[in-house]
Amino acid sequence: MSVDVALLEGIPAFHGTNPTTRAAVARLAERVEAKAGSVLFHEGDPATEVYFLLSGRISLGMRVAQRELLVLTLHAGEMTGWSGLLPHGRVATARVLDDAALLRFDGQALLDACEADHELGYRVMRHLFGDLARRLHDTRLQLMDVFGPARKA
Amino acid sequence: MIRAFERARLPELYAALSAACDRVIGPTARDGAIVLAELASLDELPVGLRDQQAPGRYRLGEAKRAEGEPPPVFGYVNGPRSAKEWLFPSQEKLYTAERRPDGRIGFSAVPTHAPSTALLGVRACDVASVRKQDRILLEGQHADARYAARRERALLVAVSCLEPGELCFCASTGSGPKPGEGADLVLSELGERFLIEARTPEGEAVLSRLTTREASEEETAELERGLALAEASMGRSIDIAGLPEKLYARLDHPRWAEVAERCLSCGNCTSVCPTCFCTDVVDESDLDATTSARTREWLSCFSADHGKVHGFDPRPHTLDRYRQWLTHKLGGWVAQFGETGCTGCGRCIAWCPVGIDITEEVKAIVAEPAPASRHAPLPMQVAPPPVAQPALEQLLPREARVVEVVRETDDVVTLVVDDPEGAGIEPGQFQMLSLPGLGESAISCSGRAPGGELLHTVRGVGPTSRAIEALAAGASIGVRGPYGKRWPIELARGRVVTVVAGGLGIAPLRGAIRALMVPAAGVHELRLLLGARSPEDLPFAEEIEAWREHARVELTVDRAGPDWPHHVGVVTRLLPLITLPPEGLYLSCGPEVMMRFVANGLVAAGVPREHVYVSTERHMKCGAGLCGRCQHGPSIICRDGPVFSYDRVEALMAREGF
Repeated sequence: MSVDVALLEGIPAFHGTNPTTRAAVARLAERVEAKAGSVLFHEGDPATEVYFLLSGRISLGMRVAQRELLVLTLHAGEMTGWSGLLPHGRVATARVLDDAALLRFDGQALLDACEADHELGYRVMRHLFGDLARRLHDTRLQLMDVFGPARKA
Repeated sequence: MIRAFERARLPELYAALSAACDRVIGPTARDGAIVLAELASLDELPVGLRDQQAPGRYRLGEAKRAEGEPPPVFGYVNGPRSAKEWLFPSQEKLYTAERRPDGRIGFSAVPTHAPSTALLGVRACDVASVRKQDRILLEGQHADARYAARRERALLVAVSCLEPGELCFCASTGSGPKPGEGADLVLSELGERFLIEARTPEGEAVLSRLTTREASEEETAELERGLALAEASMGRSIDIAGLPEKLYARLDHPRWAEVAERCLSCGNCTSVCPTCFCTDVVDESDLDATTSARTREWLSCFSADHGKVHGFDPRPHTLDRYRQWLTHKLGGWVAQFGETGCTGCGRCIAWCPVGIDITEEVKAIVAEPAPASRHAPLPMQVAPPPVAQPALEQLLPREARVVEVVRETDDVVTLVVDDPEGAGIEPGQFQMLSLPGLGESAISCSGRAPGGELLHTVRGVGPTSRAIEALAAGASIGVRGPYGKRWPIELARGRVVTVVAGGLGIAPLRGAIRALMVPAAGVHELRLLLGARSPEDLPFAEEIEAWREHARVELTVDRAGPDWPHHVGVVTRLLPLITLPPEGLYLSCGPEVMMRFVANGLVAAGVPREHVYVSTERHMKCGAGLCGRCQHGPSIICRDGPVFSYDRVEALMAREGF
């Protein structure tokens, strides 16, 4: 494990942390690549890892009856798999749409690092709070169904 | 030159007016009120009568008079009805449509009933109101042909107001008590004598038929004194200086809610207002559905239908409607037509069943400095100058053929319409499409077919649009227009251009996108961010794929199946994927909430509001700026828009109730 500290530069969650902290975080991270068409994780899987997308594109889908419904696509800089920081399994399936490079953390290791260094924990959580608030807001707009219901003939 | 004649010679005036015009309309007492009606003789004048007015009260009684004075001929103030009904009738059939056996539609204009009309006894406020209606119905880009015909043949005989009523405030609105521009003749009643002044050649012609003498200096001085006294004795006023800005800065004033508690939303104020010009149209079919007729009727902005467009009512509450009426009359009117819409006649006060007093409401609302608002201030547009030679608008559709129908999605079709007369339409402009007996819809042009036919992309949401959506190739359809302002394509040269469209918002933009892709447009870089509900709801899917050759295209949907290769999420999530140069040009069209978040996202990224253009929508009923339905604060959307730069609409877009 461990990645070049420079890779963290592209991840807003670690902005504002000091170099020592960043170096410690870099030691917890692993750079992985995922090919388009592959699946990062499935809905219902146990969730142990959390990812930050360095490049490429990921879709999140949920099962509705026997069909998967895509609900969001994620781009570089965004986090995916935040259920890895929470005590429950995967709530969505993450598919790789375009070849992707990701930083992977063991969720518990990242939580432990945040617990040990509250300055880091504050930075990470504050960023995630903003990220999740944005996603919640976007989800509300999606729920508004502003483009209107299609009228069935 | 002011002339004079004795009271006994008044019948000469009637005779001269009858000789000059097909009919003489004048004041008479009827049903307990003074009304303007066709006069068979001067015996019908309300001699000796005067209306006592108070908020919510109107009673006809005897006019007071000094010892030895004869009962006044024009001693009344006014009645609920004004000159308006004779120039702009409350109900008028516009055209009939006939569906012929071969399926084609014939539209025939109903000839305008426009006998030459002398209007006798028009008060100064009503002279002003006629001129205010002229400004709207005759001096815009489109002139109402029917109003024009009647106005052309109308002779206004005004009467000076020497004893204003309890509710009058015309001095403060600049419309009286001396009749202003617009009167052909001005009559002033001084006891046993009348003074008369011709203001136009038509007035002069009538005057020349009367036996008059030159008014004495003493008589003209008496008139001036009387007018000055009248002006000084008005108990009410509205300070119109800077009023539009003051009112629009106080849209959150608690007084609006208080007056809305009292307001019954009955629309009496708009019915008696001599300047209110909003109209509806009603389509009626014969039982066999082969012929139908379209009738225009006055419509109040207090009615539920005024602003409603496919299920969306921009002003659902009484507060919204009262605020709309008052801010338009005294604010938006100035921005739209260069003057206040109020003549100070006081009718809305007298005929309000609960006695709401516009002068009192205005005073209460502007009394204190504007409170800090979380909303951006509303920019006032400068009213476009009067158009010297407007196009005469008959509001009559022409028949056009639907040569092809392309199904775009489950509920969206594109009609290929052969309409050579509409060939000049530009991207962003719209036409009115109609079907006899059903109605008319404002539909943006979505481009041109290779053969030059116009493309109209329609989603069936209401009875008319559903029927339009169901048309087959070969069908006949009514078309009017083009109307409205286009996308500012010429600003694209040398710039990075970003188009953000959502849902059917891509239709009004398709013509613009096509124009921007042509090398001659000189666009530095073109990006298209397009959103839809689902992949199946995205119109023009094939064409969009072809656009990738000329532009960066990013597609997003709210939900998709697992095979969707593009984005999922709201369209604003696409903004971080591209650079957003402040000097770029941004065009957006889609649901209002989408455009608002897109524009706000751009502004947050440092793009000036003036570089962002959006296409707004309200109830565009006539399309020609005549019916008042698509009011949006200081703008009339069909005339000033639908394409606006964001700085002009941001403040209203963020609000409810407009």
